[in-house]
Amino acid sequence: MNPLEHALDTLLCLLLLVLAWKALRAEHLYQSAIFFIAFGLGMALAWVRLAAPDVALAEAAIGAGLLGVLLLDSLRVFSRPPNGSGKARQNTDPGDAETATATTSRHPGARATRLLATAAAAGLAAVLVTAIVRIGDGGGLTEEAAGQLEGSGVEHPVTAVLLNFRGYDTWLEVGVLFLAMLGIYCAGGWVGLTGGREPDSPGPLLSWLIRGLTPLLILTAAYLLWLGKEAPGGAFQAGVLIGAAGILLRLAGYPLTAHLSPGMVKLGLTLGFGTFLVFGIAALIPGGAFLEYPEYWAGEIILLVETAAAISIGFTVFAFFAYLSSRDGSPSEEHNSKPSTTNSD
Amino acid sequence: MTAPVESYQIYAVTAGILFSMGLAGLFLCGHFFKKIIATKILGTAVFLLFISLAKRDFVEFADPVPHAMVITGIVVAVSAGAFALALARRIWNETGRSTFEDSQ
Amino acid sequence: MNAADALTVIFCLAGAVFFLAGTVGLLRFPDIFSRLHALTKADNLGLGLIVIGLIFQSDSLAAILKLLLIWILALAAGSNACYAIGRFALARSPQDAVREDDP
Repeated sequence: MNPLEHALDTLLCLLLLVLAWKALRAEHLYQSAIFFIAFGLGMALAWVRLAAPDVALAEAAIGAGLLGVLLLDSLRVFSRPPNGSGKARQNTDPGDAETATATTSRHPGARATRLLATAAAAGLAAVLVTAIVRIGDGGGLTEEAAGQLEGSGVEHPVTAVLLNFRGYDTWLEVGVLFLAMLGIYCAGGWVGLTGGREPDSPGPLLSWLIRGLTPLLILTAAYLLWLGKEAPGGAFQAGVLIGAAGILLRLAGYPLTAHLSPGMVKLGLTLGFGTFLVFGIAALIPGGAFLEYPEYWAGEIILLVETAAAISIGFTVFAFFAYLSSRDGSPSEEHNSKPSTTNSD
Repeated sequence: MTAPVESYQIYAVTAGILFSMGLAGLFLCGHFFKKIIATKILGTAVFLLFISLAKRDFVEFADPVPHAMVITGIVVAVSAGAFALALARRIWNETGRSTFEDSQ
Repeated sequence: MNAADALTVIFCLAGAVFFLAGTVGLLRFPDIFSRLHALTKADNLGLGLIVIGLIFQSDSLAAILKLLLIWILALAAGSNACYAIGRFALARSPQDAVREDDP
């Protein structure tokens, strides 16, 4: 092992620990969010160091990028008085809401509790580290995966696992995304994708960038999708790029989904889950198992399923953002401000 | 340590520490927002351990099964985080509360 | 070490120097605008130098074009982020933005 690489790994790990610590201990929520995004990007570097470029792409796009956008967008909400001002009893001062530690220190025994919890966490860390150091070699599935790669229809092992060997994982994951989207819709939305707040004017430079970037984002998404067959890339990374394009367009004031009928939006949201289901059931007909693709067509089926999944993931990711931010535009805004544009979905 | 330290072991140990930090943060941080971040750090630590162990028997490529599961996991974790954010925002908007503590 | 490797080392080191300078500027400069100046200028140039350094290591035209595309995208995104932060700072409070740390 190269000592220089060792130093790099150690430095990166220390950086990750410091960033996580700062994210948890920062005084203001804004600092917390920024440190967390930096932590996500540091994690992406760590994934690359651990020979997991697929995970790095997913982390950078989804973990740091998408969640970062959602976190920053939520700060806007937490930093001002709540909407239902009649019921508001406390924390109307935005500065007060940001001091997260202040609430626990009010109680007399809080300090002792904190010390105890910290000590317990340190003890847990010690136990975990000793246990982890003792984990031996072997026991992986590398050889099995490599042996089966031939008949999977793709050359990249991670894609083979995601879309073929453990296709049901990916199928249900698209389902989880859909479920989370429905949850967000119920908890914060009730406004169709076509409704919601009017975005602020982004200024000439930003709207120029967004107009130039959107086609490139779509192109990159298609490229990543195609690349997934033989190299790191695939449906998730591509889908998040499509979603990112939608979020950028919405931020810039281009009401993207206003041009889509509710039926189209519904179709986009459910396309991935449905395509998985159709091909999964179709695999049962010749006597195979659920989601067991015939060897001859596997490559084509995977590409088709991936494309549908990417479109659905793009729509869902966009819906995350749109539903989260649709309800609370400005404090004076009524909850369902636009009944005329609130469509049936 | 008798055996030379492999690079994956550094990350695995980091994962252990990160996990405890996330767990402590989940209990000790008051604000929902920070609790969500703590949960995310906790989850990331698990992924880090998983991926670092996948590098143990690195031949031509690392073990692809944990990689695929972690990619799935990241997406699921972000979905859960987004849902949690939606709930926290709704609670804040409806009641003006941002912690689980009783007011006064 | 052949000539390409030597060039890579030189350009990447030069890029690292710019990154270091940008980071020092971010930490040491007094207000938002000069910090932005330090950060975006230095980082864009630093990234550019590193991209040039890496071009000597790439073996295909496609890889070179991808590297250049990354640089251009980072330039566009960086200048836009700079613009957005600067605009926000100016709109929020012009005095604070110019002289943040003044007692």
